Amino acid sequence: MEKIILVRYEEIFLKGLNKKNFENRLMTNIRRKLKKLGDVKVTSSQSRIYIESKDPAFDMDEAMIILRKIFGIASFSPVYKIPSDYEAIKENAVLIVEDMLKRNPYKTFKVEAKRGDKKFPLNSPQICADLGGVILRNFPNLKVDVHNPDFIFYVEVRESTYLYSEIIYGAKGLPTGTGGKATLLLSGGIDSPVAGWMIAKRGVELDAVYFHSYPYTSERARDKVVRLAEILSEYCMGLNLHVVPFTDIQLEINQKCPQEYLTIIMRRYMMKIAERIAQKNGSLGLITGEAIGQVASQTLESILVTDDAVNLPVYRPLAGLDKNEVVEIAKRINTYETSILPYEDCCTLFVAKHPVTRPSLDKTIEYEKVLDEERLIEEAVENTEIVRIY
Amino acid sequence: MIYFDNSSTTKPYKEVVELVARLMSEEFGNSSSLHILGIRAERILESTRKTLAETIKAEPEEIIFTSGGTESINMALKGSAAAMKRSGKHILTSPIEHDASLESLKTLSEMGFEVEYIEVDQYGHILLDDLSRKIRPDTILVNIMAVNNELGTIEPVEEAAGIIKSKNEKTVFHVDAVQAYGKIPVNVRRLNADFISFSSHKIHGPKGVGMLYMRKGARIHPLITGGGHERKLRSGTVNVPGIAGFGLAATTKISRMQKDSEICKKVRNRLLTELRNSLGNSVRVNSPEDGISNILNISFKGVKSENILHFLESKDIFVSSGSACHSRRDTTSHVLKAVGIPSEWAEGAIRFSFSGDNTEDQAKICADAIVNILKTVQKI
Repeated sequence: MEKIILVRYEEIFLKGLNKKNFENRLMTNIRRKLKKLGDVKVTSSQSRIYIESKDPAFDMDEAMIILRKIFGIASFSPVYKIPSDYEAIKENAVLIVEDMLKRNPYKTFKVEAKRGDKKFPLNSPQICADLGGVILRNFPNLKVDVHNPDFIFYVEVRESTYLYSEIIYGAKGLPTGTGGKATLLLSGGIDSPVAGWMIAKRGVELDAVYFHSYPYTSERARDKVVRLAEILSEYCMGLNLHVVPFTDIQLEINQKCPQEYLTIIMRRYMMKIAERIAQKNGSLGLITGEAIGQVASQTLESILVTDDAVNLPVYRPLAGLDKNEVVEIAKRINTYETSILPYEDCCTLFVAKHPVTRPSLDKTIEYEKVLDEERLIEEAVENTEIVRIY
Repeated sequence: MIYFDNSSTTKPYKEVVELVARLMSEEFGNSSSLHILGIRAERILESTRKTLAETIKAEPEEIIFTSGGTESINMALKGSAAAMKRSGKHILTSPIEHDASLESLKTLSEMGFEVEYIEVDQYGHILLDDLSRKIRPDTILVNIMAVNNELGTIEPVEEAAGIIKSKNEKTVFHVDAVQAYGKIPVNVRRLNADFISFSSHKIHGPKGVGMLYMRKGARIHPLITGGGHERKLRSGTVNVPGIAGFGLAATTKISRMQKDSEICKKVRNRLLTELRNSLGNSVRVNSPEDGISNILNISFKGVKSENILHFLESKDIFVSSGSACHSRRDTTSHVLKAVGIPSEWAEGAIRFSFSGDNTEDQAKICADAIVNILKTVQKI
């Protein structure tokens, strides 16, 4: 009896020739993520992926924690692989149920069988009925409940037979690397990591840009963003974090532009710098955590002015979400606890008492003219530090 | 490096580091063990207890070792409230205490105790009249710090003790002397308190060590139980090397107390003069004139504390922000709030805290750096 993991993906996305590409990418991603646990064999057959390891040090439980964060996986199960022989199935089923009952207070069950190999002597209903009887005889305290059982004992008969009782949902989405690359504007807040995660879920690779106001903000604020990027990288296949020195630009804007337009002009500069970095790293779009109306800089008027600064498409997956909906996702993907650490980020260095909520594009462009844009952006990009995160 | 953050923690004296390191490797015995290694450790422990007791004119039996100021305070407040709860539920405290006190009292109020605050003036001095008025027959506990950690205000704790004991002799008095010890005299023959809390790392000793003075006859319930160490009041294998380091740090610091205080005063005055000369009305002094010489709390207009702090950090100058201010959260210091400092000043508050190792030249360099940042950041 060999313990392996069976991985399912949503075939609905996979049409024609693409299917093989998606499947291969998913298998590559699984291999890359699991290889740190030891020697691992990842194979596919009949739209299923099988993960096996002969390495005694390979930790199946750890592997399943990692699998939950790999996009493109619909669900997976820890399964026992045995020869397709009915005597062996019965014998192993009893051993597995016995082990399960030691750890769980189960009272009811049902058997679900699938026969992929039509040469197998019993058909699916016959397997269910007979194996159900075997389990009942061996465990007199269990009862059958076909509607609401405490556990389902699954039997899949193919060239080998797979026995399991657990189905764990995966991260869904599409395999990372099947959807090109985009650059995320990552602050230390709650929203931007969630925005990055949502786009990454669609198979998109990420790079991230963080604007650092050294020496006016804490090194802890930078550490916090690195930590957030690390959490995101568990979902995608690693990313580069670009740390942009932003202080000189802020000081210049603060000195030369009207108070109420500081934030909006600053945000335009962030977009322009992110676009410059995106073009260098081959990104096809930018991602921000903006939600409509959340703060002064996220009204439709402000977003129009911000968006005007760049040519690349800007993805705003949180646009229609309420704060509590974003918080809920942040908690689920494990970025929330880090996001709420109270360190000043660059946005707090210069904050006008009353920032404009309905900025005009014409005025913004007029006010910006006093700045030496090319030099400021060039210097910022040139002095950007790249942190590789895997 | 210019270290102006000595009220957060201090750099341990070299002799202290050497002593702790030596004892960790040579005298690693458990002071409760019956064999000679245990006996040797116990001898070091007890001789240090005697030394430390002498520094405050107490008896060795009145000293309980703890893991630091926070534990001492928790133990004094929660432990004595638990022991006294049948006599009453009323507790008085100043509003400008350290969080170790305020959070302990919050726990007690959630358990049914009534916590009332003593009024303070604009520098945080408690109003003795108000204290006197608020003591009731069911007041079991009064809590006041000897020196405030943010402003440097020296509280009239000796007078307060007199008032408390004359109004209600059963009322227990706890004094948090974490910022006072080694800076001004703490003498239990003059200060009639039942409990006094102390910390080692504020006076160039190791972290993770503190003590609680407990007047003979005072009652307390232990917070931490187990093997019955420290006369069953604080269980846990005793940190003998750390305690020995605390003892050496305390005697060293107290022998330098007068000299250090004069140095701090000079550094403080120099910093203040330089800043006032260059910045005029952009500076507000939050500390009282008659405060402790090693603490100076100043506000700067139009800049946030954290921005100044990190800018100074880039110049290798280390200070504390008077308020941990976050634009999206209201986290202005409860002390600055309690003494009524307007929020536009409070968010630019910096606490400088000095030691005998600082110099007037450092004060000048620091003042210049601050003038520089204010010129850069404030719009002209």
